[in-house]
Amino acid sequence: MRRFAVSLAILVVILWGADRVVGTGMDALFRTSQSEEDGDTFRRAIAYRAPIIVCGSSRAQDHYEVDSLETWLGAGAYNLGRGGSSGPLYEYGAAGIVLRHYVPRLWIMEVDSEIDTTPEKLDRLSCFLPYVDEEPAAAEVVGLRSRYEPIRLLSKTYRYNSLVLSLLAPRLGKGVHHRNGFIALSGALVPGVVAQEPAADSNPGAMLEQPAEDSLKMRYLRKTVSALQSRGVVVVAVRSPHYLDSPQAMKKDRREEEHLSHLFRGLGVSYLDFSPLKQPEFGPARLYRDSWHLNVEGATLFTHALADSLDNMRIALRP
Amino acid sequence: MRFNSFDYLLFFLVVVGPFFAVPYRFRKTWLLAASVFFYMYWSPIFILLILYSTTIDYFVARRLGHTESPGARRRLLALSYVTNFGALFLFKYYNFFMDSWSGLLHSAGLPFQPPFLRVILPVGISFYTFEAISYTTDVYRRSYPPEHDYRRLLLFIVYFPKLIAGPIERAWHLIPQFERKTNFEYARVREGLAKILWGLFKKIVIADRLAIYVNAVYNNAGHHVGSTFVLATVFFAFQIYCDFSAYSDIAIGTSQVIGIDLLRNFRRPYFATSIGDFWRRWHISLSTWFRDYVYIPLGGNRQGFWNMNQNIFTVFLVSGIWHGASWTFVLWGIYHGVFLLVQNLWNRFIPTLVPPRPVKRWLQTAGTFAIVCLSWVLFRANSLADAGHIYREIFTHFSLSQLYVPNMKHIVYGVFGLGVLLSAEFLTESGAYVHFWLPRLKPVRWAAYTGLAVLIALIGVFDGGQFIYFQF
Repeated sequence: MRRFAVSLAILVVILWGADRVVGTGMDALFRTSQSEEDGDTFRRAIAYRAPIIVCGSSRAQDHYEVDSLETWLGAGAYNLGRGGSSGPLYEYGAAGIVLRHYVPRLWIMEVDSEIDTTPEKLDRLSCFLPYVDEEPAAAEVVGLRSRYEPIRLLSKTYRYNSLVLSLLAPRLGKGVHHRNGFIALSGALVPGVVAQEPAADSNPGAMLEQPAEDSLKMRYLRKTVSALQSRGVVVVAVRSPHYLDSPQAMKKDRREEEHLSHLFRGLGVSYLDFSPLKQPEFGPARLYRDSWHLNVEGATLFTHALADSLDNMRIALRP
Repeated sequence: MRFNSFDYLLFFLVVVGPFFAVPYRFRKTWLLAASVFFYMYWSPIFILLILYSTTIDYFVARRLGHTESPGARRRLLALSYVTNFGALFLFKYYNFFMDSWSGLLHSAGLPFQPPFLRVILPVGISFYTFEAISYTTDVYRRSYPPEHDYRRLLLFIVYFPKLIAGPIERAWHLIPQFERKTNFEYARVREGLAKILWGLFKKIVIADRLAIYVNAVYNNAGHHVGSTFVLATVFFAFQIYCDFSAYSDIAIGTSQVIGIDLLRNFRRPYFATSIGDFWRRWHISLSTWFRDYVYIPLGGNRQGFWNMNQNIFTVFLVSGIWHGASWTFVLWGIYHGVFLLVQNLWNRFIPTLVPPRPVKRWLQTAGTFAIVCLSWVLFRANSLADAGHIYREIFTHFSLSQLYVPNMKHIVYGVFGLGVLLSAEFLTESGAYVHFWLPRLKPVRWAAYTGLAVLIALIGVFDGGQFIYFQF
């Protein structure tokens, strides 16, 4: 037993040392990597101090051409969109990090019908892991992943879990090239051959029912809006276009639009809807990469339309 | 309680930590209480089902010990079978059979709306049912004496490391070990913990990583081409191996720390040189169960070549049904039965032309792996229609340019993990581990522990799912 205890103690020390060495190496890689999505995005956004922040899922990342927004609105913009992160928990973490360093003027929240329903994918909150030691908002949302998260966080390496390849890729001359968080998508949808994303519901009746509200999401949506508005940030919720290929999808879209506009009215947030039903210029399939994502042509058209709408709102983007 | 969760880590520390401080006479009770808690942590109500079937088996075995009349003995055994298989049928197969019947009657123009049961499958039922059956059958055959201590029999059924997904234990192997007075032995505990670490690596780094690609492809079968299905199927072959063998490793390792040996379940199955060899290496505790309780009672190989093949075919058909209440599993069993039949015919009628050489051995390994991989399509596909579509795509629409690569990192991490696994298995398979590494083991061992732990933290999947075999 004594021998075992001694061996175990030595092993724990070796493991701790190895974990610190690897973790420190990963931290250095993380802070210097050019990888946009898996790199030090938040610190880069903070360093840019853009008055306009776009936040949301891959639809935010692929639809909001920040260069064009900057040109049309005359103020810096940064895209904090992230694949799969379509929910208030991600918005809250991102807003918390940004607000601790500076106060932007406009926060564009890309939303869809699941903003207050369907539990958020907690695994996607791993993007906040590298920030947990310095950012209270990041630590708060990471803590929601599992009640055992504090134990996992004893490891420094764990903070950079699954990042090694994406951090090394830009150094090897590979990886996606971004511009302040925006990724342009190529390719166009062929009408009739629609790759549904997410998968189409096989029950047409269920498609038209309003899913139940997720209390955690609602709590964090309120917290996000309140944190931003209390610091004087104008929050605008935007539903960017998505492809509608059937009368049923159109019916569902109309219901979602009603639901979202009611939801954000209640929260005191301006809501802009770019559904093809309201803005027919977003109807053609050639503007889409798949049914949920605009391609580069669609993104340009959408960003222009959004800039027009924001311009009409006369938001003071400069001090 | 998943083996790869912190809940289990806590449970392990609380149960195994003080185990050696518990006086010998209370250790069985300690393990029994821990095992019942372990099962009830998932769903408390189903412990009643285990208690019910174990109580019947206990009394059946006691009566068998005192009954000499063959007819009465057969009736007692039948009572045990009806109790155990009845519960298994009700929870696992009833809806499947009703659905299949109604489909058949509908196609014959006889509309039939069967009553379906709204029940969930009690976790581990396929495993503990087979253990209970093996116990009463052994007592019936007089190869094992009836158990007089109810606690000991109950512990045999609910012993927590193997309760949920095996290895499928036998009374003669496990029950006597409950009486063994084990002390804390450094080497044994170290080996047990190393097995647990290796199991966690296989589950968290390999199985759950490969699952991301496999699920993305198999859950959207209509959108992919042959090359994607080939890659996803090869990944699934390793996913299911790493997932299931990880569970076995953690179960065996946990039990080894306590001082109780469980049956071996895997022996590097993808190094098999034939389908027969594969089944001697894959889920060994199930294969030997079928051998002892189905194949041999049917006559085994004692009644001629054709009867032997018929018996083998029956075993694989039943094995397919055991795995799941779905036609894909039935066909999966038949597939293996057919290939074993082909192998037996080949060995009997076609003379060996090429003498055994390493090249031949590796070709046989590759061929066996390909055949096994094709069978996994049936195992993983969500429906028969999906499986048909996947086979069609693999054989008619293999286009590398359309290979689905959504996120390269999942593939790279998964393949890296596989590299570690296959290197370790190759060293063991070739004997290099024993002849070269074993004498130099200490530094290698410590480096391996550290490396595996760091890799788990660095590239493991911490939001992975349940062990696949929990559903059986």
